[in-house]
Amino acid sequence: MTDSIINRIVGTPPAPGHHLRIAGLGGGPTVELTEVYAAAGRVAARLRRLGLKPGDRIGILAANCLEWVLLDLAALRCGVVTAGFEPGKFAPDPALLDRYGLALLFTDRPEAAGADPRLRPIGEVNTLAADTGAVPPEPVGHPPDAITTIKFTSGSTGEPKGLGASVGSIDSSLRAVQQMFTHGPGDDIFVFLPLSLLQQRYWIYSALAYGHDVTLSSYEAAFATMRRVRPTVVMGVPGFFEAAKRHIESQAERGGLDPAEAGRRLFGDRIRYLWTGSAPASAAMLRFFDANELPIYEGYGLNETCIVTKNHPGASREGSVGRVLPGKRVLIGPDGVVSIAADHPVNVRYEYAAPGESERVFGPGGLVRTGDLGYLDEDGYLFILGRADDVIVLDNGKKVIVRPIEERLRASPEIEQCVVFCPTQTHLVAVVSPARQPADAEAIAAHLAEANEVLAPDERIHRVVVAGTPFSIGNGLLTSQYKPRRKEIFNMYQSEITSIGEGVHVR
Amino acid sequence: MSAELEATVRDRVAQVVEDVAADEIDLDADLADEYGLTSLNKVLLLTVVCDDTAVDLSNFTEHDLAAMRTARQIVTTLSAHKERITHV
Repeated sequence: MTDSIINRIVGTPPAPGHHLRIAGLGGGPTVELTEVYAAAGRVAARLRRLGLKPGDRIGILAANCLEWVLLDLAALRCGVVTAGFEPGKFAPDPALLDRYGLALLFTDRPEAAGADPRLRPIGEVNTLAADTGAVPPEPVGHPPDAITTIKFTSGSTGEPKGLGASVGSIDSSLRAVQQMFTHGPGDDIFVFLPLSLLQQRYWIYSALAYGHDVTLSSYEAAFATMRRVRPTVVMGVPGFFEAAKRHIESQAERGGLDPAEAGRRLFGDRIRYLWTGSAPASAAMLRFFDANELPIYEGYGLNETCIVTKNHPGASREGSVGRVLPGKRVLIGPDGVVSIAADHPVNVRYEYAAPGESERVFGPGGLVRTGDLGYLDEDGYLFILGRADDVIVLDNGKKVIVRPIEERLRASPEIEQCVVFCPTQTHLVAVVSPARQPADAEAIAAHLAEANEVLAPDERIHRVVVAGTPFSIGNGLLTSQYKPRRKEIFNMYQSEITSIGEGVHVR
Repeated sequence: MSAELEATVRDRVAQVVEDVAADEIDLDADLADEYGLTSLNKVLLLTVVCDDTAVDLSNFTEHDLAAMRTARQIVTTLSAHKERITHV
C-alpha cells in the first residue's frame, strides 16, 4: 500500500509552495496546498464526529468550488465513499439520498435546504474546516481494490449507470499520466469540467502528489479566465477546443494577428500542452492547435476503463489516440471491437444499471467490451474507427462505418456536429447542427458535394437535414461530454430523416 | 446607453453570427434562441466586448452572464459599469 498515490496524498502533507486557485468570472480565492491538506483533515475530523464511518457514503451535488475539493479529500482521508453528481443532471432531493444510500448530500442548491436533515448546504464545509480544534483522524490505508467513489456514466438514455472506482485504477492512471507528462513545479493545470467527473479530480490529486499548481474554474468562466490565470495545461473536450479554434481564427482575421498570437491571448502565454478527451476530436482541430504553438494530445478511455491510451510529447501519431498505458491492454476481437483489460480494473460490474448491463459490458476479471471499433498499428498506436453499433448494414450487404463520414462533414466550418442515419437501408441521411444561425444551406450543400466526391459510393450522403436549433446539452441532443445523442437526434428529426423531399440535397 | 458601446456590441455579435450585418442585429433577440450562441460563444463575446470597451471582465459573475440573454442586456450592463468607472 505504500506506493499508492491516493494513500500518499491523504497521509502526507504536500510540498509547500503550490496552490489551488478558484477562478470564477469574478475571481476567487487562492489557497496553498498545505492549507488545503490541513483543512481537509479538519473536515475529516468533523465528518467522523457527524457519525460517518469508513464505507459510508456522502453525495456532492455542486458546481466546482473549494468546498468540493475539501469534502473529497476529507472523505478519502477517513474512508468515506463519495458520489459526485453533476449539477443539472440530478436533483438534490431525499429520493437521491435513498437511491444511492447516502448518509449526507452536500449541495449548492439553496432550494434543497430544509427538505431533509441529510441535505446540507455545501457552504457548511467552511464551518467544518474552520474548526481548528478538530484533530484530523489517522488516514485510512486504502487497499488497491477499495472503492473511494461512485462515478456515473452519461449514457445516451435513461438513468445514468453508476460504478465504484477502485483505488488501484486511480493510482495506476495517475502514475501513467505522470510518466507521460511529468507535471511538476511551474505547472498550473486548468480544470473547468465538473469535479463530479472523477478524472477532473485527478488533477487535484496530481497537484498534491507531484507539487504543482491547479486552477479550478467553470465551463462558463473558462474562456474569460485562462489568460488571467496563465495555465500551462488545459484539460478540455473537443467541443471546447472547437469553439476556441473558431474564436482564435476570427480574432486573428479581424485583428490581422498571427493565429499563434491570438491563441496566446485566449489561453495565456505559458501553455505547455492541451489535453482533449471524452469524445473524438476532429483532425482539423488537432492540426490547428499543433500548428499554432499549442500542442494538443488526444487520448482514449471510458468511465469503465479510465484512461487507456494517450498521445503525449515524444509519442504522438496523427489520427491515433495514442499508445496503450502501462497496466492496460487493448484486445481487438475478430469483429474489430476493442476490449480493455487492466492490472487494476476500475470495477468488474456496475453498481447501478439496468439488468443485464454489467454482463453486456464487463467480462471475466473486469475485461471491458467498449463497443468501439479500432485497430493497433505496428508501433502500438490505437486508432478508433467508430462505434460497433454505428455500423450500418445496407440492403446490398455492404457495411458502412459512419464516424469517418461524420468527421468528413464536420470538417466544414459551417457544420458543428453531424450524425448519419440510414432510414431505408439504401442511402445515408445526415442531420447536421449548423455552426451558426441562420445556417448557410448553400455552403453546406457545397461541402456535402465535395465530401461525397471522395467517399465510396455506399458511403455518400444523399441528403442533409439541418437542425433548426444547434445540438446542445440543454436541449438534450448532446451528452454532458458534448457527444451527440444519436437516438434523441433521430427521435427529434425522425420525420425529416425519413421524408424523401426534406433537407439539403446533393447538387 | 452609449451609442458607441451599442455599436461595439452589434459589431461583435455580428462577428459571431456572421451572416447578419451589425446594423441588422436585433438587440432584443435572445442570443441563444435566435442567433444560436452557446454559453461558450456568449462568454467569448463578453470577453471581446469588455476588451474593446476597457471594462474589467472580473466585474461580472457567472450569474450576471446567465442574466445577459440579449445584446441589449449586454449593452445596458456594460454601460452601468462604464458609468461607474467614469464617476469614481
